[in-house]
Amino acid sequence: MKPITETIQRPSFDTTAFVGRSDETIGRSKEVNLILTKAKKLCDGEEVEKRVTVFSAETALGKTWLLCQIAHELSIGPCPDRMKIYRLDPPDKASITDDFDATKETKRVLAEFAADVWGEKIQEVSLPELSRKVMDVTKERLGRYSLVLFVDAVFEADWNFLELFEEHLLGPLAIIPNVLIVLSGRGRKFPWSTPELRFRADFHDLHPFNLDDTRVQIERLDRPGLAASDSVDVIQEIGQGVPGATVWLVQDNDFLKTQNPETLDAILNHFLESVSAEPDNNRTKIRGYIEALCVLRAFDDDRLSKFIQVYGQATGSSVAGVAVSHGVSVNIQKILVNEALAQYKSEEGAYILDKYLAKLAEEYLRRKNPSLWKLLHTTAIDLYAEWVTKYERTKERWIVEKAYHEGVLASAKTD
Amino acid sequence: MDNFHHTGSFSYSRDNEEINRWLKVNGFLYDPFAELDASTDPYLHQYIVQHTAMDALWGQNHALIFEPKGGGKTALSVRTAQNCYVGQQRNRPFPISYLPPFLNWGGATPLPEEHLQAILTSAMKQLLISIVYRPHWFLELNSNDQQLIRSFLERDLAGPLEGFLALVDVDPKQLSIFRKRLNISLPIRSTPAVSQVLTLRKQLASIAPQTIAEDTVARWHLLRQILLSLFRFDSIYLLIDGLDAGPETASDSQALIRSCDFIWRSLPNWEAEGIFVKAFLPAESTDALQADYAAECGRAKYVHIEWTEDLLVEMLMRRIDAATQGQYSSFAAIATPDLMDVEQQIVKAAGKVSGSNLPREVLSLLSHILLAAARRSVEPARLHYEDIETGIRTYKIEMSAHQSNQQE
Repeated sequence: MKPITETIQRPSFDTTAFVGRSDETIGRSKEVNLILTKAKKLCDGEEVEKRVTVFSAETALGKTWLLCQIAHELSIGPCPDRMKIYRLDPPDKASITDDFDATKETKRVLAEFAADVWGEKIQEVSLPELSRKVMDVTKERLGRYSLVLFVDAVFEADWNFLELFEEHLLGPLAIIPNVLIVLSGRGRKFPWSTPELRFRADFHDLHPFNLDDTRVQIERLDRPGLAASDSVDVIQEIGQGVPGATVWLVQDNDFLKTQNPETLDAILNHFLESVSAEPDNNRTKIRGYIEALCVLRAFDDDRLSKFIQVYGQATGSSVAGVAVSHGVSVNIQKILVNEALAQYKSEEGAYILDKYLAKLAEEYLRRKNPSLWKLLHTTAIDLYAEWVTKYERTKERWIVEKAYHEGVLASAKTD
Repeated sequence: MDNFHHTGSFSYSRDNEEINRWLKVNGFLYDPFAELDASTDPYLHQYIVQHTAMDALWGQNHALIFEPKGGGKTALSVRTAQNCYVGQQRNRPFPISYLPPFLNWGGATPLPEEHLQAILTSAMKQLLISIVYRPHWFLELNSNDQQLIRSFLERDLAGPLEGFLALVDVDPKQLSIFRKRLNISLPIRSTPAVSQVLTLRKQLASIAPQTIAEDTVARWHLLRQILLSLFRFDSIYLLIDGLDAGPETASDSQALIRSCDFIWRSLPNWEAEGIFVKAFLPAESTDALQADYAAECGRAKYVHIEWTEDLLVEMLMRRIDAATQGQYSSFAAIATPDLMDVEQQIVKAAGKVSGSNLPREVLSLLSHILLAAARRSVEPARLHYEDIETGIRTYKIEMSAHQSNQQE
């Protein structure tokens, strides 16, 4: 059996400080108890109505920590000897190459599941046949056991894989009464077909930590002195209660003394490394797009073109060249959405960047390159001023946006 | 105008090629607004919006779904049947899509045996397509049970089994003809291995059919046993749709409800036997059902679906989201900055012009708007305010023409 609490080798998290502590889980007790309650019901032979739970959160909010903590709590109760706990890792984008074969990958996942959970080695067969065999052995062996299946970073996986995965394992498992499924993911949710995974699932959003939780988190990182100091306020303000950001901010003593932008630079790179499967050179470009757009509260094709162009000219970088064509801006939008770094918000009628990432990027720019930061805000003011005149039907909206950017610059002057 | 409804035969005019090109330029992988027939829409599962109804439909309970004409009853019925085919196991319900055939030729008061015979025929069609798509369900049975199934298929399919089997071939196109011949367009996502289909065909053809009970009621009980005990399906869903399609039932709710008298009276017994009716009924039939069958329907879940403006907006946005693979969920993303709340504007205008809040009307107006955008567009292919105005104008013209034709 794959150890559920093993640290997954991604730069975004280190579970060791948090998982397995007997004291209360930081900031996520409600979520942990939710699954423990469901598990206890299964152990007591009671019916559990919503056996599929989905935790959604943006970057570095501790989805994997949460799953590991739940798994740890399950492993010490309520009926560890009658409960199989398994973490299944879907292929993340980094593992997807040109010759990626979703069928082959699904077969691998199914075969591993049978081998790890039930100790069954299933011979090479077609995917439907493998699915039948895996489900047959699952139903046969499940008997007195309950199964809790964790799938982390599920929405970030290849969607062709997810379609097959649902059809051949996740969907069939979701309807078995003594199976709990815990999913976590970021970005757009996969449109599952199985009712139990879709409109009968229990959906929860994870939010950032409040100041008290951040303080406890810092204590757990063996920094009790720091936790008791005023620096926690700085960490909370810049890290915004995102546990992943707190970890990095705490690690850098210098930043807390000097607020050196290089620390924010490193954090931004860590964030991107943890969420983007793109090669380094593409990631540098993505970093540029984020810096170019970070001052905007929402953006569309027009704003994206304008800001990439202004940023490119100001930095002399090769983010997109001087002239940004429609095709280029559409492509940039696609990249940001595909990496779940931006998403379309219907209430805005436009895209918004991952808000924690955007805030970090703006903090970095403001410290590292204040003139560029100011230029971007000024560009926004000029653009919205033009739109107020040009677009009569929607001018109220642009007046509000223009006022926002004017307000930001005015506060900076005051500071 | 208030009472104006399009029927299923109405199709709006659109130039698919121009619209498709425009959508493609804007990142759509397919046109999610073109397919008005839910039963043949391969993407339906991605953008179904009526979660309340789906929740009531899915489970061991009778469900009575009331929707206005053109409100998407068939989409829900198809979606429910599709859900029965997730996975390779038989631990899901077995769906029988039942459209009482006698309604078409004026028989609005069928006898119980007539209903049962029609259900048996529908069930055999569904069973045949099920075992073609999941051959192992049949091949894993012992020879006696296989012979029983073979005999049942021979007895109650609407046509000789050999004729259908001849269409079961390795060629996917043949499978599509096979489904058409059975008049089942339900898209089942996972297709079977060719070798298994051929083995199934060979096996079915080689078994000599045995004599099977002539009595319809006896065969109905046998069917239940086969599905629940032999195949071990979780339950049987009887999906009833299209009751308002017959000449006598189209405009007479009482006749429509009366035509299924036997079914409503069977509800309490069927629930105990693991047979669950999921009926998709026109909204105006609610009172007629309540008046005469309140007791029988007492344990059923009732869902009244009303297409609100918000729900229609959600329908459009989900379709955009699915077809652009999440790139965006509103036309605002590809509109000029003077356009906001595009979907709300379309939904409101469709309701105002047609006099009803229905998906069909919204999709119809949208096609006019897209055509206007496609014809006006220069690169980049943005949506302009004038496209909406033009679309509404041509939609009104078409509606007027359609109304005049109906009056004539």
